[in-house]
Amino acid sequence: MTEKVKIAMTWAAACGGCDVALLDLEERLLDLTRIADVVYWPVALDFKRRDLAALPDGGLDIGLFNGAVRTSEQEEDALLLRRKAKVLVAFGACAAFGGVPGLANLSDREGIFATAYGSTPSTENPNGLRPEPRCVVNGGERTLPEFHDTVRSLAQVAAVDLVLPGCPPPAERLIDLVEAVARFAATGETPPCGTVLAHDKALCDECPRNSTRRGGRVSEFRRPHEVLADPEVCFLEQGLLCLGIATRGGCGLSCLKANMPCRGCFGPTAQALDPAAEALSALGSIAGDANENDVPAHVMKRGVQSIRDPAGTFYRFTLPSACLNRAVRDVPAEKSP
Amino acid sequence: MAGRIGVFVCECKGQVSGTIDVARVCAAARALPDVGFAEQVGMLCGEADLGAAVRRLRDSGSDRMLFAGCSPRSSLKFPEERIARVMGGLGQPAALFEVANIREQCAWQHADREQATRKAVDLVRMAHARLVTLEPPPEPVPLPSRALVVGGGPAGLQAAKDLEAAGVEVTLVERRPWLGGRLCQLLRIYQSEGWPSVCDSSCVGPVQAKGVMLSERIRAYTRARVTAVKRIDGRFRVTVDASPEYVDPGLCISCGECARVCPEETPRLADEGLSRRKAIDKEFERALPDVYSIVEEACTRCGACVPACPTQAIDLSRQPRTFTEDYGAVFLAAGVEALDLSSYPQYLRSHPNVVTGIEFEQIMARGFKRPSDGRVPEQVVFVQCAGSRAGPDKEVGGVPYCSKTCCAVTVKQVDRMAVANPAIEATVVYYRDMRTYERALESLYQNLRNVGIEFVNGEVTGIEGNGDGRLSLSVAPCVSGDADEEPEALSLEADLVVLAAAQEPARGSAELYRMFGVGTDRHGFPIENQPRLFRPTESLVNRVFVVGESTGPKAVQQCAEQGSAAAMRALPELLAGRALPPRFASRVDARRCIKCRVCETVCPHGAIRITEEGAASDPAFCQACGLCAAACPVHAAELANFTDRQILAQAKVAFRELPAGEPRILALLCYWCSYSAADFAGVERVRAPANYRVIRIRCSSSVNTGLVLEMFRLGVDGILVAGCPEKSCHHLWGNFLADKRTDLARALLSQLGVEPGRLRFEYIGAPMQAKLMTALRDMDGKLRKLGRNPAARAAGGA
Repeated sequence: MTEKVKIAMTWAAACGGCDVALLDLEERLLDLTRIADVVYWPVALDFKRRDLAALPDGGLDIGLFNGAVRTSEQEEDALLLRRKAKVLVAFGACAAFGGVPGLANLSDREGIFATAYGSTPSTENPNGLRPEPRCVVNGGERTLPEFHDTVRSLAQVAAVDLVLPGCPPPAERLIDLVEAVARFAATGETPPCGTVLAHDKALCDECPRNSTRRGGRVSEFRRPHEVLADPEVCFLEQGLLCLGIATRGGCGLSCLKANMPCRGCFGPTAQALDPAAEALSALGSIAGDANENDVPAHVMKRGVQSIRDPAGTFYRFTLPSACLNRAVRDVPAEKSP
Repeated sequence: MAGRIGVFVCECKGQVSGTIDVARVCAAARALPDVGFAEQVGMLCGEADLGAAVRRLRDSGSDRMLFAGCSPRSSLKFPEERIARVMGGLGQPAALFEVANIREQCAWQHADREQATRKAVDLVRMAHARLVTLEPPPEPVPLPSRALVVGGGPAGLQAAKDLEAAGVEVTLVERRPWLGGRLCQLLRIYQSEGWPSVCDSSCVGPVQAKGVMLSERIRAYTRARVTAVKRIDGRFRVTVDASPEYVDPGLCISCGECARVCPEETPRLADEGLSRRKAIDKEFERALPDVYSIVEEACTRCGACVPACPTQAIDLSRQPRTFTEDYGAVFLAAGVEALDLSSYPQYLRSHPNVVTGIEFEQIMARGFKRPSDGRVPEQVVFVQCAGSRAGPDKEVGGVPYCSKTCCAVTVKQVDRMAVANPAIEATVVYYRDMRTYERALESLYQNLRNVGIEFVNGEVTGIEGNGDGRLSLSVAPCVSGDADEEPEALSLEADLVVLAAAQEPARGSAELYRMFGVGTDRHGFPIENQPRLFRPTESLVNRVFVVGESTGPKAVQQCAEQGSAAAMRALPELLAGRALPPRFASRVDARRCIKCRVCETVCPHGAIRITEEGAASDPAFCQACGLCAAACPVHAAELANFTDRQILAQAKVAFRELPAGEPRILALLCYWCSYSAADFAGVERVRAPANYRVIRIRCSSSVNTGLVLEMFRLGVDGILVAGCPEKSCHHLWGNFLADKRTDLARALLSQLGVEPGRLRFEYIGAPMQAKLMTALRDMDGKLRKLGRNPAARAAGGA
């Protein structure tokens, strides 16, 4: 293959960390540029959307999409990239599962606007102005992207070929991506649709602290700031809520190396029915002491009650891809016949 | 497997067909995949219909049966055990049938023919969804026909003898140097419910032990202990350490020449250290094995005994013996021992004339001589509940339970003393009640009162030494409901005090129970398997039996009864040399396992082992509760015939016939208790809302939260999870785990805007049909107000 691979990266509801993470490739970034031409990367290079649109459909080889889909513009971007790219990559936890922006699904457009344009202490908005998709300014119509009620992952908008999880994806997995690109450049081979560039097993399996796991119950879960954690002992043994039991491995253990428990940015394993439920089932089962028959209910439940904010804890990166992927409000009750 | 399912829909001679359109149910069944035939029968439990059905199944080459009729759990005529027999008779795996409970949980609960028929069709669909994916049960697991008995007291000896008599090879391990346990330390043993007769331990002790010593199939090790246990493939791989056999039992003639020349002394175990023995000696004259033994810690290896032995039986160079062997069943008869009362200074345990009941037995044997100076006391005070029945009303602490044997033992001791030496004055201070339990002991007690033995109701709150070996006791009155009685503090004088010390699990037994995976309660006693009424001596671990006083203080006779009972419980598997795993046995896919050990933590039955490759579930230890499967965060653990896929398949078809707008209520009811409650509601013809469907799950904790969320996504409007009542779960803590996880899931759901009332957990025992119906009606009412489950709409579910 003589021609270089054409690659594009775009961002949506994201923090920008994924774009920066590409730099974690360090000198391997040069390997990427040897085999690939970046034809579109709005964060780093001066391309316009029309440059991407100008490419023939399928004229782009690899499309990297980071961020969740929150606005109509992001949805258009996702569909555009899908149309142009032979291989669409959900780059990072937000594109893969909805990510932290996905927690906005606990609220809705109205709730968010009411807070952002109304009730925060620093908001001064006496006329109650809200962003409108269309408005007339000086006789001319101006438009803004529409703000959706629900945040979605990329896969909920367009078919995804490759998933690269992580918040942001770590260098090891970026190298996998480069290799996938190289393989595509050399052979034209694409991985099976939906391939996840991470390990199949959950993080515990590769955690160096696994050997210290004794399998005891957790009387009460404590939060990281409440404990000076032992850097070598399993977090669960220390009463710290760690999602390594239900989160895909392959992240390079950077949180654990920094003595922080896993927060789940690599998403659930392939077997999970729901990104939160399995961890919830497991931790809910070992929460509390093994003396349930001897203590009153409020003592028996102290362990599970110490798990605060289950949605925020277990769905931190995954709510849009959950079984029940958003909070439901204002659904009028059906009258019984 | 096209066309291999035979369906029978039973009319129950009108009891079903009176309410349900059976022909319509049959027609619906015929339309289901793989169904060869679906037929209506009058009463399948009757010999004529059953015979015809068996022929029909055989002629059609059916390998699975779907029976729609009475409850598989509660039917008294055609329960699942009988259906399994029918399938077995067809030469098919007995597990390949499924029952749609259209009688107790449908025809008997709903009056409206249309509603009942619709529900019956759904129930048949649900049963069918499971049936098509059922697999034959796991293969039997071979077991060694060899048993291990730990503890050589009356219970252990009885178990060993009964097993041996049935042809089982037995290894018996006893930590002390003699067989017979504490029985040998009691002078007389009361023996009958009927009249106050006694046996003498010097007679019956050796009689029991002799049977064990002389048996060719029993190998008994004294001064031995279990040091390691592995549970592998249904068997127990046990390592035993036994002290060196310095004295050859084949040569020792118990002449005592060695002890005569031995220069070293050490406290004698058998009399609780009241006297001393030589480093090489026999603990007591009639001890078995009939061989002199050496106390390691006391022996200086001076060698004086070696040439003194006329039979050259002594070899001081002998090494400890360690062996590892596989056993098919284990009997733990670790017993109890007296609570160490030295931590309660009120009892002045350090005073030589303050002794425990078992020490007093030895004092009786030595002519009632008090320890301080060997004089016969004038006044003996017996103190009951020393360390027992501790609570807010009691001044001195201890264990909260009654030690059960002390009152009877004290009555026996006072009686012996009154007969043997009437000059000694006896006073019994009892806390609140005298509880002699056996009929014979009660008459003895009354007799003692009649002859003027003083029984004082009160609590001994302090004992003080007055010098010259005398003691004075402060007695606080017990709080009494009797207003006329003015309670008064008392002071008693004594020159010997006998404390009826509380009994607690023998020291070292905690480690023993831990090694065998046997759960213990907060007092350290092993927990018995549920339902305890009809599973005597079973621990939570298959084929580990807890006998004698290991589960609590007992009379000698009851200990022996337990030994026999346990042997009987174990014999079927030991003699067959195999264990039959449950049809729902758990299994772990090591390729997914991450060794988080959550399964091991929640398994109440010691069936999970962590290996290099990952967790492994042993089907021969599994009791099919499903706790591991529901708690596994990566779905590596699952139950055969009870997989997530099977449960979801049932949920998916559960409401096909339910008219739109009716709330869809799914009740996940535990296999034994809560499912029965739904049956009992039918038996009592309680009218229930017709829009609920039951999935009979294993333990209430066998369903993962992911399944619950998925069910909501599929469009179920409300889910009721129900398990056994508190303290009665068949799997120790399964109901509590389900309750806790449901709370957590409700918190999650409410954050998602789903009304938490759509998911609830209830503790519902078999006879608590009223509670079940209240919960269902309440949910039905609330769901009608709430309307369709918003999650299903948001997710675009069914």
